[in-house]
Amino acid sequence: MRVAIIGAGVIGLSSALCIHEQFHSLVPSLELEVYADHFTPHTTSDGAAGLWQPYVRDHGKLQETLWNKETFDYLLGHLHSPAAKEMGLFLISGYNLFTEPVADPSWKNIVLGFRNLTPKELELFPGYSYGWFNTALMLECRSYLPWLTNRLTQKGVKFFHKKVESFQELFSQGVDVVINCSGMRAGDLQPDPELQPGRGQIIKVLAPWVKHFIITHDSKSGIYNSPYVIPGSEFTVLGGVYQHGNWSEENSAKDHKTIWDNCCRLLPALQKAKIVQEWSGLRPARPSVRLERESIRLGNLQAEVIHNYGHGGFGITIHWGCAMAAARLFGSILQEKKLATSPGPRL
Amino acid sequence: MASPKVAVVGAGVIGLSTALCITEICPSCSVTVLSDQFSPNTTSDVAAGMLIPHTYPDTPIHRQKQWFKETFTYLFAISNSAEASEAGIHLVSGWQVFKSTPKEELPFWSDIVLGFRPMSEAELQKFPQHRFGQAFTTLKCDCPPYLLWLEKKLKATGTQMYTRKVSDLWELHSEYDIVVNCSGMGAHQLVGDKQLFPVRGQVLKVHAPWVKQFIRDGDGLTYIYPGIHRVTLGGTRNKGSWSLSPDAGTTSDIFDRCCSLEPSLQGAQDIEVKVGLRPSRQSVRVQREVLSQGGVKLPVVHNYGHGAGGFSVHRGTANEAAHLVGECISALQGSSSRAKL
Repeated sequence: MRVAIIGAGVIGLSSALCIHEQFHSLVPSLELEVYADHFTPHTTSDGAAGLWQPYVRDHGKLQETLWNKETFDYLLGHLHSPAAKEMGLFLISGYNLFTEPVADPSWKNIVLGFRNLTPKELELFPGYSYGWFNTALMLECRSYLPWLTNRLTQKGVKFFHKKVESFQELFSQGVDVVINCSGMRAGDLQPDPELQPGRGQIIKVLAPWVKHFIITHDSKSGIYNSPYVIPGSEFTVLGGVYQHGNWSEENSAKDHKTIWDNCCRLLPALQKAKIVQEWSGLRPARPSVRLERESIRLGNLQAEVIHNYGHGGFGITIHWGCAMAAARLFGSILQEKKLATSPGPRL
Repeated sequence: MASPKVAVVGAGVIGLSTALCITEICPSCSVTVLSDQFSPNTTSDVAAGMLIPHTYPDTPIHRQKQWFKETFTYLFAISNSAEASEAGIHLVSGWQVFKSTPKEELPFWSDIVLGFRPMSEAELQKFPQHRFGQAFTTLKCDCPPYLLWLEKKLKATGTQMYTRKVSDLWELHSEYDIVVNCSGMGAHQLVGDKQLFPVRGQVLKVHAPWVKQFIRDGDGLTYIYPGIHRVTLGGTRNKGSWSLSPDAGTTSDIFDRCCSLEPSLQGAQDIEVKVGLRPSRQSVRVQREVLSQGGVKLPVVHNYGHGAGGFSVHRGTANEAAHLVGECISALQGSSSRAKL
């Protein structure tokens, strides 16, 4: 049973790991292969700061909220393990700032210590009159993706550096199931007008005195189009750009100035920070995550694709819940092919 | 008295901040800092510089609270300015955890730090051996940066600083009109204060930049304080010990205790061991005194004995000491005009 995962960002690698963990003992013939044209540190995931935080409004997408929770709980469970440092996983507290009172988010009871900001705390942020404080997690992909890659390699998963042009290409080589984690480029494999780029640009600086994340929100400009500061284990990420429909991966001088000026106004201490890098990337945005099975007829064969893409600006936040959902879909494929040696995995 | 000459003895956080307050309150004063040690070799340099007050048994609580509030307000403004990184001041959030519920659930400073609240059940799960905790956000003064920043501000006011060991305050009476004694542990010898005793602290300064939160055991013995470049792991409270030598057994013990609060510290690198003697006293001595010897008078202002709480109250006590210097100047001017009659 050959399973090909397309994509080696956080979604592809975690889906591969989850499937391997759940099924390698049930399906002795299971062979996993990862195909990608970009590997860490050149994936979209690598550009993300790595903060676990869903969007502030879930628009009724309860399934996604559940996947977010599953991811948080899974990561929290690993916090005290010896692997945490290698995974790039650590706790971090910080602020979400608003210009007017807002309803509490769907994730208020998922994170730790969620509360409203006190008047004295708001003095730190002129222009913002309302906000939240909570403790969440950071999962830095520049560590997490290599950690996932090592785990997968140890388990005998094979990696292929190539751009897959079609699902057919893999099926004709004898692949039985494709897990489509192609992120922004899923449209190249199968047109999906709902998948659009949410272009982001970030500035990485050295500012080790910043110990909190600060995310501002402006209901008029939309999510992540308002300054944010996210301290990592080595660099602090400054951002605040979300341009729907913009496919450019070139750094824009105008966006640089917007980010720099806004973040320094937000946190005057940043004025002395040294700029180390600039990066642009495309959030694979979709009205909802596409996580579903598709059976494709190829001649007299039924080929199975599990789609797992369209995670927008919350891929890291939701990845493990989605990986487990993808694994469940895989389990049902095995059931149908009567390949699993026991009645499906207990999840 | 046109330009009173003030000598400040001591160049730790107390000496430097007191000198700075004097220049602010009395711009006509000529201030000189004298110390046998300057940063990075002062007791202050060993401390993590966390604004979490120590409670002095014999100082009225309202006075301690006032000192802390002034200090917090002063540093809060710096942390939110472009000077923050140079001054080494930054906000940090975290937890104080207790193995058994403390009798005083609300410390006197709970309304001065930010966002003080009890920890939730979910948060306490991270600390299986602890049953109660408090979460809050406070400030940290990283040293050497903070001391170097104070020195820079002092130099800008024209304050001179000299490396000099003062063995007796009377050495200074011919060159200076007023002496300010911020000698910390040195006051034991310098002014013979037997109520002052060392509480030896050993700490580890490690590289663990993924640690963004502080964790402190309410017993005050085990703590993890993330600074700009290093995390301070502590510690010890060896009352009466004068030893400045690191102890290897203590190092392992501190490391183990901190790892049990924060397991990821197992991956910490570049461990540096430091020792400081907290200049401890039942109350902080912020007091005016006029020394007298053979008909000669020497006004002295004391500002020492801050023990484990130096950073937490430094600016408040510095302001109070500076006002006492102002009183000394008025007294000198009063007596000199009487002398003219």
